[in-house]
Amino acid sequence: MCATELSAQALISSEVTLSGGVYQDYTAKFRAPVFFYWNLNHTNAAGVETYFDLGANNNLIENRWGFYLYQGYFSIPFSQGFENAPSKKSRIQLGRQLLTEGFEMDILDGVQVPIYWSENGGVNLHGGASYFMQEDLVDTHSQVYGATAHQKFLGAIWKGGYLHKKRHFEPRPSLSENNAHASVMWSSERVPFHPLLQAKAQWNLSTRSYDQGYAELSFYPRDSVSFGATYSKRQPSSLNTIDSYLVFRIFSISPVYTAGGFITFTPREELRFAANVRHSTYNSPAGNEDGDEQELTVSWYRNRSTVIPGLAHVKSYGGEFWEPSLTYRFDISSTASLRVQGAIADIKKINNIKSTAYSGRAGWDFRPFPSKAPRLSTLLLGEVESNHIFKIDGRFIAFVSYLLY
Amino acid sequence: MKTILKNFSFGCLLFGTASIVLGSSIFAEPAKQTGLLKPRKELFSHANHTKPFEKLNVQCTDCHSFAVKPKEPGPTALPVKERYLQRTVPGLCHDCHLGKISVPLRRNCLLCHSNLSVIKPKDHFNSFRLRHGKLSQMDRDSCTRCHSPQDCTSCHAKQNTLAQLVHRPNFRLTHSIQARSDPQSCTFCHKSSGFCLDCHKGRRR
Repeated sequence: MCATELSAQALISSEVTLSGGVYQDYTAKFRAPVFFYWNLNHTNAAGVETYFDLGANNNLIENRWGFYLYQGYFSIPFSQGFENAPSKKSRIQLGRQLLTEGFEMDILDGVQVPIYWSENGGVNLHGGASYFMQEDLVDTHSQVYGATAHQKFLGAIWKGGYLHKKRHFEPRPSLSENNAHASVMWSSERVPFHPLLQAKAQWNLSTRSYDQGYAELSFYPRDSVSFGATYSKRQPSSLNTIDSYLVFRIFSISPVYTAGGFITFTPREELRFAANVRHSTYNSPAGNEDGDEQELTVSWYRNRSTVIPGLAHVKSYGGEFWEPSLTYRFDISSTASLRVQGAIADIKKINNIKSTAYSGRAGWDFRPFPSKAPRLSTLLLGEVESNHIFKIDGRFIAFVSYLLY
Repeated sequence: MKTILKNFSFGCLLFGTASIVLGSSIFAEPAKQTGLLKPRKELFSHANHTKPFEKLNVQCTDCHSFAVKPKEPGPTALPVKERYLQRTVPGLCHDCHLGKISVPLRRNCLLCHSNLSVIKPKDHFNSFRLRHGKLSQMDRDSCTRCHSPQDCTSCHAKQNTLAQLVHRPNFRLTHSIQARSDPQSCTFCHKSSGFCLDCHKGRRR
């Protein structure tokens, strides 16, 4: 391991990963996909940050290539942040980046300008083309513009913003939508049970309707205990192409309403219990549908070992499954770790398939030459599944990464 | 409503049973976990820090106090090497690595910590996988104190990690049940019909 290198305070961090594997598909043909990832983060002496994260893959036998730019932008600061919040720098971010304002979760090919007037408040201006997380496209047919202001006030974070979205796909006419969103997050150590409240809503100004919402009320009465409940109303934007929400469209003809709860218990620092439940309801062409999920996990850390047993149960119109699992991680040394995971799923589907499925996954992360090439990292990953379709389905992948801190 | 209560009761029952069984004295000798690669005093290298400290104008006395004296006075007394540190609190390294300098965060934590799950903030265990999106949207820049931009894509888009971070095991067989349970959850990431058709129409094998 090497410490971060500084040269006139210019800093660079990079990772290159080449991976390849081989598997036999259901027609007994061999496939050999190869993946290449490269990310680079460079900060120069003036604080200008250059960041990109890209990938390419090829199926060697079919010679089918794919290129992906996950993110790639320049960040030019015009303030140096605050003593207690150095990451809150006013800046211009130009390029491909994530946009997560309101209920958006898109890749934005454009510009974001976060401006902070104090460590407690500011505004984020943003605009550009967004194409729904498709990393291999630059498409200007869909655009989003807006601004979001945020301020800490009365012990809470308040946010409010406006989004103008438009779409134009020939030969269809142009469509646009105006949304307003607002959110608040408040927590207090003085109130009994130390509550945290978060509420968030989005309105479609064009149709004057409540579009989407999320609310959470959670309590942290002791360091070792937390519990809470959540509610959400979600639906795709009417401006999205039908293609972009196919999974939603084939099942649901209404917004999805979800209520959930969680509880965690940490009796000791190295032992954690967590349970989640969720209930969703929506209208499908067949009528009202419900879905239920429950999950219980235990995490136990001891010395260099981590053991995580878990149990999941999901039930919906599509069927029901129970899945106990066990994960074990062991840090062999300062440069090597081992992770083994096994799971058995008891599955009953609506189409009368009843099956018991087995999954095993093991990985070994190590540095082959820790003294001569400490930045060369290798991950060997194997996965085996057995179920009613495949008696044995296995795959093996080797990753080789070079890290430049 | 009945279904929600039934599910919640079920979850609580499971949770309670597991807590009673596993939270008892089966696991004795709790130990403070830091997930450090080496003991703290072996992690720090003066040689590697000389240049950065010069650039950042960090003085010897920012970390060391020469007011500390050995218990035994006099020239033959043993040195108090470890006690030269003005503070021995864990935050000493973090003062720079998480604040004063803008270090690209890739593997910043892994410089010293081998097991990141041990040093996760406590609130990251409170059903955080389901909640982190909404919480991060309230104050995204506060996440960048520890996380780099590629931390999003490394879980949501890539597969080069030991852990199976997003979907459960056997997901190829159970995804139809899961999708019908909450169809909106799929469209957060999978926003192209091609993604479904690649497999269901046999384009990808």
